[in-house]
Amino acid sequence: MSYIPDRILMKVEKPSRYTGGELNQIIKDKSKVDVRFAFCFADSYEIGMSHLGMKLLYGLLNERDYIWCERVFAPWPDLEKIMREEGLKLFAHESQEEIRNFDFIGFTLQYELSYTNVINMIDLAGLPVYAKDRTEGMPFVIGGGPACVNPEPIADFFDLFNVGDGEEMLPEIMDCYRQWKKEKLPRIEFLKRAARIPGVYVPAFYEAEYDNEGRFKSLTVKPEFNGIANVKIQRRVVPDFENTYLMKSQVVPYLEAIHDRIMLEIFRGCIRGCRFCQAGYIYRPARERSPEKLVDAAVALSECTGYEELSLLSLATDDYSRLEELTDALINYTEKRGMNIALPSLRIDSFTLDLMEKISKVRKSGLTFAAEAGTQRLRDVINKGITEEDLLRAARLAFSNGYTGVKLYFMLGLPTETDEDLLGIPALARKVRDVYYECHEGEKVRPPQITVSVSTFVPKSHTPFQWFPQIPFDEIRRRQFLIRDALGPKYGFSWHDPELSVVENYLARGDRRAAKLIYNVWKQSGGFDSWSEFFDYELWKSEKEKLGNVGFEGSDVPDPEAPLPWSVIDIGVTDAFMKRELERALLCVTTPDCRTKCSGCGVARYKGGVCVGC
Amino acid sequence: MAADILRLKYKRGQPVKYVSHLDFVKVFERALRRASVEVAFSGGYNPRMLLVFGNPLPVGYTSDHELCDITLKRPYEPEELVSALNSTLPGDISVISAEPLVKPYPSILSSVSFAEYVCRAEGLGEGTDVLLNRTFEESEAVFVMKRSKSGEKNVDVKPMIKKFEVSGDTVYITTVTGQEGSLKPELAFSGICSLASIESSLVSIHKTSMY
Repeated sequence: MSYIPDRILMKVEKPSRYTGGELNQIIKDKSKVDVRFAFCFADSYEIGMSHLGMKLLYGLLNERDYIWCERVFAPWPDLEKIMREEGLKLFAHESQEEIRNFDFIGFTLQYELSYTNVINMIDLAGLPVYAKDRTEGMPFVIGGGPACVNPEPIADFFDLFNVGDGEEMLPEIMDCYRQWKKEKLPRIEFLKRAARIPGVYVPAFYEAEYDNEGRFKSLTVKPEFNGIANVKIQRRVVPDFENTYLMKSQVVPYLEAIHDRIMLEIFRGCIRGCRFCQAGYIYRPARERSPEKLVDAAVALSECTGYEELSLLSLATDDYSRLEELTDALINYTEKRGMNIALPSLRIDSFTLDLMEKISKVRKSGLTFAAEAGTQRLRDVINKGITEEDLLRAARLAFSNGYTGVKLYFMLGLPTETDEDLLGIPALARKVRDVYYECHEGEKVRPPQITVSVSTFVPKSHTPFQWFPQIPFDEIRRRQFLIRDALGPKYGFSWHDPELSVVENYLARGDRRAAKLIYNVWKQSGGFDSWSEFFDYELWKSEKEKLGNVGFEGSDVPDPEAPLPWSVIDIGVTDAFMKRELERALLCVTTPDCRTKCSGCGVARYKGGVCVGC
Repeated sequence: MAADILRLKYKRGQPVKYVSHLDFVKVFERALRRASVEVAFSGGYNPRMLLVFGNPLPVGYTSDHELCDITLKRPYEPEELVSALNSTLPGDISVISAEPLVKPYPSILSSVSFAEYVCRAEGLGEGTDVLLNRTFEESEAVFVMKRSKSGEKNVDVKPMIKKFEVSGDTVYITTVTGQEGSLKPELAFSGICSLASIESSLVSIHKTSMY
């Protein structure tokens, strides 16, 4: 029986988003569990059901008899409106029950623009959005996922965060909670106990100070929590990745999700260290799983889902050391079953004929080459270790194997970027086009479809570029037009809306004061800010202007001594390393990948990585 | 008799009534794959399973009689195929029977002409069933706005309604379906309601059979 009555479901778009009952969902007897966990994804069902982390932790938590973990998504605004009119509350998919009576409301935090949806969902559940207003008997709101490496902008809304890999930490938190519940202690006692679990951050135990000019000064443990809360929160890492929980089942949605397929996480972390890329630092060290384990999981998942596609997931597929062995074994199985394999995130410099053949065997989808910057100088600044020759070689390989187009991906607004770097982008596109005609010399061919896609650089916490500013709005526009005009009509051109990037920047490096901004905007917009049809830039801009400083903004001449709002989170990469990387960036010096040479970033202490010498 | 083309008759229950036709096709394909049924594939760059479905069941309907023609790589006994598929079909979808087909065979659309529905109406007052039944019997035409590719048109659908009978809040409707076009029961119902100046709508629609 669905929580939302039929008469309402008949009126809304895609009602099967809300009715649950999907294949492989987990149903438990609620009278026999001690902990009910509402695992929320702060976006639509189709987006949330594409997310691997949620599937993984759903399976992992439900392996424990005493926990029933259910999925929760943000209702699309058409349904939300009716729910609010009729006093209906946010509900969980499996039981179709309201989540306000659950033990935990967990959010996986993936992108900053979903923050308004996070508080909207807490509100729709019928709970106070600020942690300080939640009282005995109400669920604890817990956050996890990559955006937690700077939890400050949303710290006021959460009771606790778990920072880093959740596979060990989350069950530890659940065990701690179960014990606390048995002892019938006050709410604060659970938070005090949880704060002792490595990786757990209870924001209410800390307070922030700002200087006279409104700049962030410090975040310290409140005196009454000295000795209870850690001065720094050490990110959790599962060192033995090979033997860490691997999904053998996944829920198959009735409604097509954005990525509706089997997902195999072949390794976690990245060996590269591109200086703009937060994921490259916050998942270190790179840890692999063996092909044997992966093939077993692929077979199990395929048998219980019947999916037609299998995708290898990681930050850079071809950095997986036994890729050939793995893909051969997988293709052997998938071909028989009429399945495809998707190999996303391929790097240009290791794009080989062999890989090329493997992806052509399955499906000729589009190829995207990420060059990131238009000149070698700038590529060295960002430590993207690829050359123009790599790109042209990859293009040649693609064009001589039947591809008639490629997408070239770049970033704009990178530190030290000049017009010369920007004009390097159309110049590269032209060279790629020339390669196409060289590959087809003497033949009559249709013009290639070359698309240049440019996104705007947003400086992220825990990267060497965290000390740089984002370029101003008008400058973003000018640089976009500069590229577009130099590119001319023979190329496709797409760019990110600068409005979204500007707001992302407010939040990505925000401090605790950003909570007010998120709250004020949500009060007026109602959420779904990651969707351009609901995003209201003027609203964000005017609320930001009213509040003034809400975080760290960086400076053209970076000051690595400036205090950072997120330094309470220790991701394992040392401060000294970040500063060294900043210096090297300014000197256009690249840093080798972790397999070639250890650069001493600090995560070697976690062990278990592929890094040289560990 | 084993055959490599079979016509499946299946039902779709409550839990999947909001699944759209295109999504439903995927649900079916995945169930076939889980059951390791040796379905034949089309050629080309994007090989597809050789499945031919009848008219899409509208979102919100349940049905005891839907049809799908399946082509297999090897001959299957009907019982073998039915039990394999029923072991993996989710959410109250199940195959009732499989009928071997021999080429040339009539397509699904040309082999059915009528669909029978049992529906429940909301907002019908006492005695309105008699009024609605009489209105239908005495009417010369039932005009409704019918949407088509070329826009909305006012059409007389009376010739497309084979049976119309209301009893309490239960409505039995039989309308044409198949090659010559088809009529949704809610359209027939609303057309007759407006002739009788009654405000009501169908809240559940269940297809019981096609013939």
